[in-house]
Amino acid sequence: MLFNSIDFAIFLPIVFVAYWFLTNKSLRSQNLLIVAASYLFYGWWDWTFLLLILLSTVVDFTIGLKLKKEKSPLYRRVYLWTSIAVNLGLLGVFKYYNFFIDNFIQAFTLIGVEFSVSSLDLILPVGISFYSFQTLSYTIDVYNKKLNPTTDFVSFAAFVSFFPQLVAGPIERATNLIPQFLSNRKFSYPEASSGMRQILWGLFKKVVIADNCALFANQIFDNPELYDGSTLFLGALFFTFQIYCDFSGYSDIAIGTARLFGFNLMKNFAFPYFSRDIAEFWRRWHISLSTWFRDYVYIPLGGSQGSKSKKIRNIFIIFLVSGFWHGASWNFILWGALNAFLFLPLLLMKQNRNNIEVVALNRVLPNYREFFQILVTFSLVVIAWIFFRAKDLNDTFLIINNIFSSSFFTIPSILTPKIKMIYTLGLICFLIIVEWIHRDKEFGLEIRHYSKPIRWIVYTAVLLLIITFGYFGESEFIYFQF
Amino acid sequence: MSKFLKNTFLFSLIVLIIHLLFSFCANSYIDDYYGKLSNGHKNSLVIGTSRALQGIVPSIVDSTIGIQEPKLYNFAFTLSSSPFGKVYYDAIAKKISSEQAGKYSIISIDPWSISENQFLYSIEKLDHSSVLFQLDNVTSHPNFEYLYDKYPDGWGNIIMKRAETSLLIKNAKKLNKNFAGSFSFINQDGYLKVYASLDENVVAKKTSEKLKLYQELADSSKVSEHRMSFLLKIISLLKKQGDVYLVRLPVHEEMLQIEQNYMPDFDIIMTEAISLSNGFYDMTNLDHNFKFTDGNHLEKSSSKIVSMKIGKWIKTLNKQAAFN
Repeated sequence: MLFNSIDFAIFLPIVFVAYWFLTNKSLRSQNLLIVAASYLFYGWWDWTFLLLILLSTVVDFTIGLKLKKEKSPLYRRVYLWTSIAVNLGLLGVFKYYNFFIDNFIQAFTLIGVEFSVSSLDLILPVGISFYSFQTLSYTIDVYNKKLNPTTDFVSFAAFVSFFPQLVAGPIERATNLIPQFLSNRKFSYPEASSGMRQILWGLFKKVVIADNCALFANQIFDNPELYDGSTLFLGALFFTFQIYCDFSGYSDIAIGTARLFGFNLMKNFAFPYFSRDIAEFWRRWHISLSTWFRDYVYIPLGGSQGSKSKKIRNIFIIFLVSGFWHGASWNFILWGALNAFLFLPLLLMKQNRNNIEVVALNRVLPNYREFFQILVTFSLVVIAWIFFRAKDLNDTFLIINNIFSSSFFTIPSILTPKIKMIYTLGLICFLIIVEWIHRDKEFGLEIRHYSKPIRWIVYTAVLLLIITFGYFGESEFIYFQF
Repeated sequence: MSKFLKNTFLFSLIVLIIHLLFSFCANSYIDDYYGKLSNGHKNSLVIGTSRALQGIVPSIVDSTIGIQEPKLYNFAFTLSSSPFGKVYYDAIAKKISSEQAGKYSIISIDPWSISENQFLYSIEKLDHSSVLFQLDNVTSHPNFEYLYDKYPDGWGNIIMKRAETSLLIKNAKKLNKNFAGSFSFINQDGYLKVYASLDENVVAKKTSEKLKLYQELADSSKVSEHRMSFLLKIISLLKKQGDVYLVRLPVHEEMLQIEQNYMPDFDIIMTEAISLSNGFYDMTNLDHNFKFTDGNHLEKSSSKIVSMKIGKWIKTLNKQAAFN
C-alpha cells in the first residue's frame, strides 16, 4: 500500500480509530492490531511476501531468547551467525543472486572459461533491505548484551512489521522501538498534530516536488545522448531534488504516522542539502542507515582508530557496502566509492567533524564562506547522484563527459511540458526557502511555535499546492526498490 | 483527542472544499472529451468516430430541420474510443435517459468502425484503450470519475489547459495562416471545433500521413462480425428514443479510393443496418468541393455545409413519411 494512495487514505483513519477507541484498554490488543494492520499494509503488494517477514520474525525472536539463556560463547556466536545468515541470505537470494551470477559468468568469459548458470526470475520483496537490517540490529544488540530480548512475540512482531516504517525506514533500532511497544501509549495532542504536519510536508515533498521532478529527470536520464552538458546537469539537479523529496518525504510521512499512534521514530533526514562538507552531508542524509553502518560495521572494524591505512580501509568498506546495499549494480558501488573519495580527505585531515552545528544558526542567511561551502558540497552531491541514477556505466560516463565539456555553458533545452518545468523550478525554490527557515527544527513544516491563524494559513497554502500541482497517479517511492 | 478530531475534521473539510471548488474549473476546454461526459443525459445523439465528431454540427442539423427540443447532441469520439462495440454501446446506454424522449439520432458509418485489425487495433486492445472503458459516469458535472482517472496531475494541469485553450480561442482570428499546430474544444452541442492550419503544404503533409496510415489499416483489417452486431444493437437502442438515420460522411477522394478498394461491398455489408434504420445517406459521392484538415476530417466550414445537407435530407424524409 502506498502512502500517496487512496487506499492508505482510507486505511489510516480506520486503524487510527480502532487503535485509540477499540483496543485502547489493552496494550496487547493495540500491538495485535498493529501487527494485523501492518501485515495487511504489506500484503497489499503481494501476500506471499508476508512469509518472508514472518520467517525473519520467528527466527530472530527465537534466537533472541536462545541468546539470553545460552552461556557458551561458541553457541552464542552460532546463534548470532544463524540470524545473520538467514537475514542476509534472504537479501542475498532476492537482491544479489543474479548480480553475482552475471558478473561471475562475465569474469570467467573474459579468461576464456564458458559456463552457464541461469539467472533466477525473482521479484525483489518491497522493503526487504530495511526490515532485514532492523531485525539484525535486534539480534546483534541482544548478542552484545545491550538489550534484553523480549519474551512478548506480539510486540516483537509489531517491531519488525510496524507499517509506517516497514518498507522504507527509518531503520529503527530495537533499543529505541521495542521498549515503546512494551509500554502503554497515551494520546498526545501536540505530538499527533505535529505528526499531521509532518505527514502534510512529506506528502508535499513526494507528490509535488519529487513526482514533478521525476518527469524531467526521467526524460533526460532515459536518453542522455540527446542532450548537451547544461541540460544534463539540469537533469541531475531535478534528480537531486527528486530523490531527496521522495525519500525524505516518505520518512516524514512514516515518522508523522507513527506519532499518531504514540511512537517516536528516529530522525532520518536533517536538511542535508544545506551541508557545508560531505561529512556533514552524511550525518544528515539517511541517518538511520548511516548510523546503522557506523554502529554495526564501521566501529566493529575499528572505526577511525588505528593506522592511516586501516582508516582508509574502513571508510571504503562502509561506503562500498552502503552503495551495494542500495542495489546490485556497479553504478551503486561506484557511487559509494566516489563518496568515500570525497569523505576521505576530511577524515585524514581530521576535518570531518568541523560542521556539527546547524548552518547559520540564529542568522537569516549564511555568510559568504558558508554559502560557498554549501554550493560546493551541493555540486559534489549532484555529480555523485549521476552515478546513482544513470541506467548503466556507459550512460554515467557519457553524462559526466558532457557536463565537463564546453556544452555545459550553453542554454539548457526547454523540457516539455514547458509550463510544468517552470512551475516545478518555482516549487523547488519554495521548498528551499521553507526548509531553510526551519533548518533547526525536526522537519520542514515544524511550525508549532507559530500562532494558530498563521498555522492554518500555512496548512491551507501547502494543501493548495498539493492539490494544484501534485501528482496523484500510481507513483512508487524510489527507495522501495532497495 | 476531541480537539485533534475536530481539527482533523476541519482540515478534511478544507481539502473537500478546495477539491469541489477546483472541480468546477473543469470544462469542455480541457480536452476533447470532458465536455461530452459531463453535461447530463441526452436522448438525440450523433454517434460515430472522429469523422462525426468533427463533421456533424448538431445545432445546424436541428435548425435546418426546425427542431427546438430535445436538441441533437454529438456523442461521437474517435476510432480508438468509439468503434461500434460493447464499450461504446454501454456508454450510449448510460447517456440516454429512460425518463425523457428523444427525437432522432444520426449514426455515422464507415468501413473502419466496423473492422477489426489483429495488429493495430484488435477488438480487445482497442476497447481497453477507449476513453470510455470502465467509465460508469458519462453525465455528471463535475465528472469526478473521469477527472480522477485521466488527470492524475492535480487541478493545476486542468486549470492551465483551460486557460491555454481560452487564450487560443480568444486569439484564434489573429492566428497566422501558416500556423502549423491545432487546437480544439467541444461546443455546447458536443461538436468538436478544431482550429487547424489550412496552409496547402501543411494539409498536404497531414493528408499524405493519414492516407499512409489508412492504407496500412486496409492491408491488415477485415470486417468484424462483433462490431457489426453492436452497430445493430446501437440502432435498436436508439430507435427506442426516436428515428435513426445512417450517414456516410465525405472524405478526401484518395481516402475514398482506399476505402473502396478495402471494402468494395460496403453498402451490401450494411444492408441489415440500413433496413433497420429510417434511412441511409451516402455523402461520399456528393459533388461538392469539401475541405479537409487531413484527408479524413472535414474542416469546420465544410462541416457546417455537410450538417445542413443532412438536416435537409432528414427534413425531406420526414415530409415524405408524413405524405405517405
